[in-house]
Amino acid sequence: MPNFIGSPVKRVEDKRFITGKGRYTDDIVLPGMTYACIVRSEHAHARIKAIDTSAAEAVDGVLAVFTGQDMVDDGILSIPTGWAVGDAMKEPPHYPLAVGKVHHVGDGVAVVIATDKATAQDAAEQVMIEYEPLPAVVDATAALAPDAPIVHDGLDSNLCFDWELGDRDATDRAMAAAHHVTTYELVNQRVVPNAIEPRSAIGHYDPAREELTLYTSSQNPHLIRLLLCAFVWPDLPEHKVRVVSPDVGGGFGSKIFHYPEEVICAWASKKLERPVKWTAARSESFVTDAHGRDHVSTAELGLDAEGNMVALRVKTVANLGAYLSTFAPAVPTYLYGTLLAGQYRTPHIHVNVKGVFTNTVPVDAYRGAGRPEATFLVERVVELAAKELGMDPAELRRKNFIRPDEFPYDTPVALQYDSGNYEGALDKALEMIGYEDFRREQAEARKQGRLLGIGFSSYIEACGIAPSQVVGALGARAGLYESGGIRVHPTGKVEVFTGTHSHGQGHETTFAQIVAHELGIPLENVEVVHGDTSRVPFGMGTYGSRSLAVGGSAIMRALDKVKDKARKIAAHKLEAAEEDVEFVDGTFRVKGTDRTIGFGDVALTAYVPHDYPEGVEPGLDENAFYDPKNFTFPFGTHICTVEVDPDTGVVRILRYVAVDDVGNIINPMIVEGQIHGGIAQGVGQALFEGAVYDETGQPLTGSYMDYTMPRADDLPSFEVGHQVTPCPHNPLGVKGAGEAGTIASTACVVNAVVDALYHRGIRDIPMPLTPERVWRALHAGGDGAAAAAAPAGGNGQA
Amino acid sequence: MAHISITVNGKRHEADVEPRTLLVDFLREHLGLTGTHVGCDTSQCGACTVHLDGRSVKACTVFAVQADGRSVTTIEGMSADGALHPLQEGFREEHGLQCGFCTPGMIMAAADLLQHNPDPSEAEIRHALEGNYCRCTGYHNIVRAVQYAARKMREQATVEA
Amino acid sequence: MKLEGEYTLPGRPEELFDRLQDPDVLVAAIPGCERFERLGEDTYRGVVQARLGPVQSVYTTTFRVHDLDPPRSYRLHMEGQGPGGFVQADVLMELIPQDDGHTTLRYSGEAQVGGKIARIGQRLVQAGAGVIINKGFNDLRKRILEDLDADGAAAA
Repeated sequence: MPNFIGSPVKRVEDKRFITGKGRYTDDIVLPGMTYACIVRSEHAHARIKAIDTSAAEAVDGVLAVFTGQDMVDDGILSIPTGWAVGDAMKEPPHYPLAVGKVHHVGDGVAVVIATDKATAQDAAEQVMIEYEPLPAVVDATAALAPDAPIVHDGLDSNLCFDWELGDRDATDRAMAAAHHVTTYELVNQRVVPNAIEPRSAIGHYDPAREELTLYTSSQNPHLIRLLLCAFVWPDLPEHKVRVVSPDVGGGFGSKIFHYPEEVICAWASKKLERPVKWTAARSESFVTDAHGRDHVSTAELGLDAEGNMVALRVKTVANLGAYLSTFAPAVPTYLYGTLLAGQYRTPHIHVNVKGVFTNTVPVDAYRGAGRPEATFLVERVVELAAKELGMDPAELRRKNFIRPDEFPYDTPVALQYDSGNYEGALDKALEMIGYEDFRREQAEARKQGRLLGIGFSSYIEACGIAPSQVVGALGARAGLYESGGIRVHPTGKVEVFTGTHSHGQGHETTFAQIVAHELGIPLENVEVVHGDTSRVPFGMGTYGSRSLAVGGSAIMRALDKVKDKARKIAAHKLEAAEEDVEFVDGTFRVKGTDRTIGFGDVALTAYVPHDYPEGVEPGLDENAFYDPKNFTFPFGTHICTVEVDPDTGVVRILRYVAVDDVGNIINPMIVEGQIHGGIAQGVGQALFEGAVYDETGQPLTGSYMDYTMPRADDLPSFEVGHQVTPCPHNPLGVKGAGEAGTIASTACVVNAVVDALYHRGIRDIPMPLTPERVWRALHAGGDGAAAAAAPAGGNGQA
Repeated sequence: MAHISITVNGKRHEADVEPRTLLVDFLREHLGLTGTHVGCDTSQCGACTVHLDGRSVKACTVFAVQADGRSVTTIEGMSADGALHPLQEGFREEHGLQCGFCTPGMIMAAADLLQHNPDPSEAEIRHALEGNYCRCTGYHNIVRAVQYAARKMREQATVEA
Repeated sequence: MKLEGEYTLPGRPEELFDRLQDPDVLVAAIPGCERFERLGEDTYRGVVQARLGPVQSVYTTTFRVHDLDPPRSYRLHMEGQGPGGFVQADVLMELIPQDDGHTTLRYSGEAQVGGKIARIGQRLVQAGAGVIINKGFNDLRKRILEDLDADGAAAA
C-alpha cells in the first residue's frame, strides 16, 4: 500500500476539467429555464424617484420585471453581515434590489426575467428609472470629513466602527522613549479578486414539493443557506432548501459572501415557478463582486539604539464600500490588527481602525483578508527602518524574530502563536537566493547604471479559521468549526463528506489521500463529496486557509470513529479482545498472530450483521464536527530580486524564492501550486492591479481592458522551498497553504523595487508600481520620493 | 435568423441563429458544449479559445455566422477518440490547473503554439499564452504542462517517423 | 471630465449669438442627432446616437440654454440618458470677437459620464469626446457659412 501522505498524487478532479466536462453553474440547463438580467444603477449615489417597467414588461418573451419594493413587499429582508465589531457598529440595510436609494454604481434596481438571455438583456434596457443624483463620496478618508455626503439615510456620519486593539498608553510611552522612529504612510489600494469564472446563480423552485434548490458559484453553500433562511427570507424553511455549489471557477474570497443575486434568483423562481438563471458579465462582476484591501494607514515603528523594535503604532482607515458584506467588518479588524506583531517581538503595539462607508462596491475578504494588509504594513516599515538605520534588512529581521524556544508566544495584539522557526525559514531563503552573491552583483550593476534590488517579506498568518468561542467573543455570528463524514459502503468503498468547498484547491485529492492512507485502501475507492447541502450534514465552507486544518481534522475525527467501530467488529470476527486487535495497512490483525480480517470484509459485516458483536449498531457511517483549539500560524520568508529599467520604469522580477512553513504537507504538488498562485496574486497587487474610481463614484477600471492582472509573460518561474514545523494542536499537524503566497509577495516585490531605487532618494512608490509611477519617481528630481509617494487615496483615485 | 452549417469536432451541425449570436454562445447553448467558457466580455481572458480551421480564436470575438461552412475544434474534441491529448495529459501531470475554468482555453491556445513551434522555450510559451488569464496557478505549472506536452509530442513524432 | 477648447467661427459675435440658440443650427452641431424638438422657451430634446470605442448607444438628451449674456456668453446644460449610461455636461460658451471679423467660441465646463461608457470606454471618453466636439464644430461652421451666404444672397 503506497504511503499517500506527503506524496504528489495527481489530482482526481483533473480529468473532467481537462476534457471540458467540468460542470460550473452556468453550464447547468434545467427544463423551463428562464434568464434574469439585472438593471443596475449607473449612479454612485442617487434617490430612485420612479421606476417604469411597462415597456420592458411588454417585450415579447419577458415573464416578469421585479423591483426592490416588490421583494420587500413579499417578505424579503436585508442581507446581514456575519460579523459585528463592537456594539456601536452601524449596519445599514442591504436589500437584494435597492429600495429608495442606490448606494454605488452597480447596485441592483430591478430584475427582468425572460425566456432567453438576449431578450432579458434587451428588455432590461427598456426599464426606465428616474434618479435624483446625490453627491457621492469615494475615498474613505474624505468620507470622514464633517461635510462629506452621507452614504446612508438615517446615519449621521459614514463611520461604521472605530476599533482599537493593544495598549495605547504603553505604546505611546515606548514610542516616545524610542531611539529612532520610522514613519510610513501607505495606501493599500483597492483590488478586484477576479476569479475567472464570473459569478452565477440558478434558483429552482419545485412547487409540487415546495422545495427550493439554489445552484450558486459559492465557496460555502451551507452558509448561504443559513443566511438566506435565517435572515433574508424567514418564510423559507431551511429543510426545504438545498444549496449546491458545483464546480466553481476560483473564488479567492470573493465567492464567500451571500450576494443579492442568490436571493433574487431563488425568490423569482418561487414567484414564477420556473428555474431562473443569472450569470454575471465581466463588466457586471467588476461592480458587484466584493473588492479587496483599500486601506489608508500610518505606521510608526520605534526602535532602540541596537535596532530592537520597541513599539508599533498603526492608524488605519478602511474603506468598507456601500454595504457591509458578509465578512467585511472582520477583515480590517480581527484578521488585520491581530497580525501586526508579524514575526517580531515588538512588546508594545496599538492599532486603531476606522471602518468607513463610501459610494463604492462593498469591500470584503480577498485572498489573505486582512493579513496581506498587515504583512504589507509591517514588512514595509521594517524594511524602511533597516534602510534608515543603515542595517541589513535580513539582520534587522533576524534580530527581532520571536525565537523557537519562546513558543507558545503571546503577542501584544491578542494572539498566541503556537509554534514557529522564523530564523530557519529566513536562512533557507537567503541560501536559495544566494544573498551575498546578489549584493555583489547589485553593486556591480549599479556601477553600470543598472538598477537591481532585493526584497524580503517575513510573514505570519493566522489560518485554520477558527475557534468558535474565540470568534464568537469577537463578534462572529456563526461558529467556525467544520464537519466531516465517512460513509463506508458494504463493498468497502468510501464516501467522504466535507463542509469545506473546493474551487481549485484539490480537496477531492488531498482528502481522499488522507482517507485512503488512514483506512489502507486504494485511492480510487474513495470519493470526496462537497458543495451540496443535501449531501453534507453541515459546513462552513472554504476560506482563510481552513479546509485541511479544520475540515481535514473533522475527517480525521470521523475516521477515528469509523476505525473504533470497525475494530469492534473485527475483534468479534477474530474472536479476540478489542485491545489485542491492531489496524495496519487496511487489515485488522490480532497482535503477534497471523489472524487477520480485511477492511472490506469488516465493511460487509457491518451491513450484513449476521455474525455481529452485541451492542454495536449495524452500518459504518460516522460524522464528526471539529472545532479548532486555536488558529494555525503558517509563516515563512519570501525573497525576490528585481531589475528596474531606468528609461521605461518597467519592473522585471528576476527571481522569486519562497520558503513557507505550512506544517505537515499531504500533497506537495498541490501545496506548491497554491503557493505559486498566491504569489502571482500578490505580485499583481504590487505591480499591476488597482480599482480606480473617479471623484463622482464612476468605476474607471470596469473591464479587463482597464484592470490589469499578471499574464504569463509578466511572471518568472518561482523557486519554492519548504520548512516543516507541524501545527501542535490539530491531528494532521497542518496549517493551511492557500493564502501564504499572497500574504507574503506584495511587500516582497515592493521592498525589492525600493531597494533598487533607495540610493536615488526613493523610499516608497504607491502601488501598483506601474512603469509610469516608477518612471515618475525616478525622474522627479532630488525629492523623488515625495513626488512619487503622495498617496492617491485608498482607491487610487484618478 | 441566419442558417449556418458548422463542423464542430468533426460533426456537422445545421442551425438557424440570430446574426448577433456569438460562436461561444452557439457552442455552449445550441450544442451544449460547455467546455468552452466565458470569463469576460472584452476578449481579454481567453477562456473561450477554440480552433477555427485549425487556428486558435477567441470564440467571443467570432459570430456564429462567421463560422458558417468552417470547422471548429473545442476542448471536447481534443480527446475525441478517448485518448487524452498530450496537452491534456501534461496539464494533469504537471498540475497545470486548479479551478479548471481557464484550462480549456489554455489547452487550445497551447495546442496552436505547439503546431507551429514543437520545441518552444519558456519565454515563447509565456508569450504564446499571454492572451489567456489564469488566476489560480501563477502560470508556473502551466508552462511545465506545455513543456511536458511538447516533449511528448516530439517523442511521438520521432516514433512515427 | 473637463471639457475645454476653442473654435473659430466665421462672423461677429452679434451675428452668431442668436444663431447659436437656433434649434435648426444647434441640431447641426450635434453629431448623430436624429430627432430634435423644442420643449420650452430654452429647452430642447434630441435623440442622439453616439459611439465611443466599443460602446454604441442611443441617448435621449435634453439641452437647456441659460445665463444668456448676449452677445458675450451663455451656458449650455446637457443631460443624456440611454442604455449605455448617462452623460451630463454644463458648459460655459464664450464668444470672443477677433480682429478679422471672426469669433472665437471658447467652451469650458465639466462633464460626467456614467454607466457602460464610463466602465468600458473610459479611456476612450476624453479622446472620443474631442472627436465628437470637433465634428460638431465643423458641422456648425459649415452650417453658419451656409447661413451667412444665404443672408448675403438675400441682402444682395
